Amino acid sequence: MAKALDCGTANILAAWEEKGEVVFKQERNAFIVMENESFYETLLENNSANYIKRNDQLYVIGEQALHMAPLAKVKARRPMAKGLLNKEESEALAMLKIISTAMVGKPSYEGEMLAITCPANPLDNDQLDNTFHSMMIQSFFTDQGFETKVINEAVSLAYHMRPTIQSEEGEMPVSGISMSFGGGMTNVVVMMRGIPFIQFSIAQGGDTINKQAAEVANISEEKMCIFKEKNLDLSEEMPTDRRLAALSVYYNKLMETVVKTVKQRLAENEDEKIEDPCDIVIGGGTSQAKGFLDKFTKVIEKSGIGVPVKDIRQAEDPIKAIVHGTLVISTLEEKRKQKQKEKEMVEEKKKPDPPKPKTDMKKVVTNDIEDILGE
Amino acid sequence: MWHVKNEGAGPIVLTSPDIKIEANSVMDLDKVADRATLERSRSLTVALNKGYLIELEKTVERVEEKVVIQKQEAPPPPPPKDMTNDLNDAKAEIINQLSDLINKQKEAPQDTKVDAGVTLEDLEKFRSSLVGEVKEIVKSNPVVVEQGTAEGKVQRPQNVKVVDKDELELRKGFVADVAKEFKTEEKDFGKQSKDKSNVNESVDELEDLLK
Repeated sequence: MAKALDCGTANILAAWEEKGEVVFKQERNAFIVMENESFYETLLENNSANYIKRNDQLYVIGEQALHMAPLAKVKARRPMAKGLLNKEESEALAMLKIISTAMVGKPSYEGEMLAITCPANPLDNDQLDNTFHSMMIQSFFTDQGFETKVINEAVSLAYHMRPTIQSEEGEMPVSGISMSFGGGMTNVVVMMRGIPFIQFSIAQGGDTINKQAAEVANISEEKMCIFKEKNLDLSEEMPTDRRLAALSVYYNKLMETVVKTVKQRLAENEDEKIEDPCDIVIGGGTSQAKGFLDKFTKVIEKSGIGVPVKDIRQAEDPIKAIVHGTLVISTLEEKRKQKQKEKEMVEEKKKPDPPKPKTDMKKVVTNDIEDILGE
Repeated sequence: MWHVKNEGAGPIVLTSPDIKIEANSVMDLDKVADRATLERSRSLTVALNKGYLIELEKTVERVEEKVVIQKQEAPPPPPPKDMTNDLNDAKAEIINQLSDLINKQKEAPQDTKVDAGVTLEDLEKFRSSLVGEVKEIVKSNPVVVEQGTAEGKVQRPQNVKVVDKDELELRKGFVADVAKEFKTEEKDFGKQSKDKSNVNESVDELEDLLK
């Protein structure tokens, strides 16, 4: 068995196989801190909220944190920002460890494979580096007995969606462009036969849209996030609601930025040009807005993306698709590990037994040398 | 922790304490300073002043630290790793070659003993030369006087290495330590859902497709 963790800025998802089913666990990657009052605790219990007591305070974790933030007149806090550990959140490490380890649980056996998503370093923000984030999150789990592997979330999406490139020799599997529109970042990979040969991220995603739209509509980011997930339909041409209009504008801006950047990166990569029609696959929480695929297709049709496009496909469940692809990679890795172990065992068995000493003469000479060394 | 490093191309031998520091190697300062007073010997001071050795503070990891206190009855300590390899190679060579030659000579039929090309005198010569080689190897390895051993017995070099850690490894170690500081909770977070699994089918197909 193997497990998977999609550690996103907005949502954390874990997945593993159990009795012929894939178990998914999903939680909002957010928390708020409330005074340790019995009134609050009763309120949390009545709402079946996930909370813990820590430092003599109540920490509300996940989706309820977002809903309770305006009531408690506090801002929802985020362990992650722009795809990585939130530098400005003093409790980022503690909370990310609490949330992520509770989601994944303990390994079923020592060395169980856990693949964890991690973004690529962004092209548009050289202050962000994924090294510390990636090492830290792996340490949370290696400490528990997992063997970990870090995967770019767009690679995970490609393993779930399996795009192809239509070459003269036929369909090239797991090849094409994969784009994961997350909360903090948008990750893009260009794949060739399962191997990413261009990968990058843009430090803009759903949170950027929420922030910009919230400012225009003069409401809090939390409220904008909840409103967006309930009401946004990008197929509406001219929304009259100010919030919807703002969201539509900023979604369009993000899509244009992504398409323009992919085009530039493909043009820079002259050695391996894609000349055959290729699939583009999209996923990630930010792409689950109604009408996203149509709007994105129009943006590509308008400006082109630097390669002939065969098809643009969206994951059926854009959030679960990433963690599912991560689970596929984790299972592949676990199988590879097992095969390697079996191979080593076979080779070990094949090894001839060490030759037995033929005569006492060897013993005599050995003793002779031992005597010299003992001098 | 302070160390001295020999950055030169050849080994440096200090007369007090009697110690050899190989080229490009690092040694704890307290191993080369006078043990009783922790004062620096004249030879160490000269080596530092002349720039043959440099003094530095660095993050290091001790590996396989084994300081063996030799007692009269106790078996001799295992030879250090590097030297053990040399000795084992030499030992294996002697054992194999001598045993082969002697066996060949012994097993050869009486009338072909001369044709085997080996006489007992040859064997004795060969044995002497190899024994000499082994002795050279033993001699060529520096010796140190272990603090605290009875009567300052001479031992082979102690199995202490000071190694520079790769920067990434250091960072990983640091990160792992920091990560351990944070507690986990036994609570069960997250909304759970289940779907029929096609993971194994996907994995099998992908293995075929990406062969």
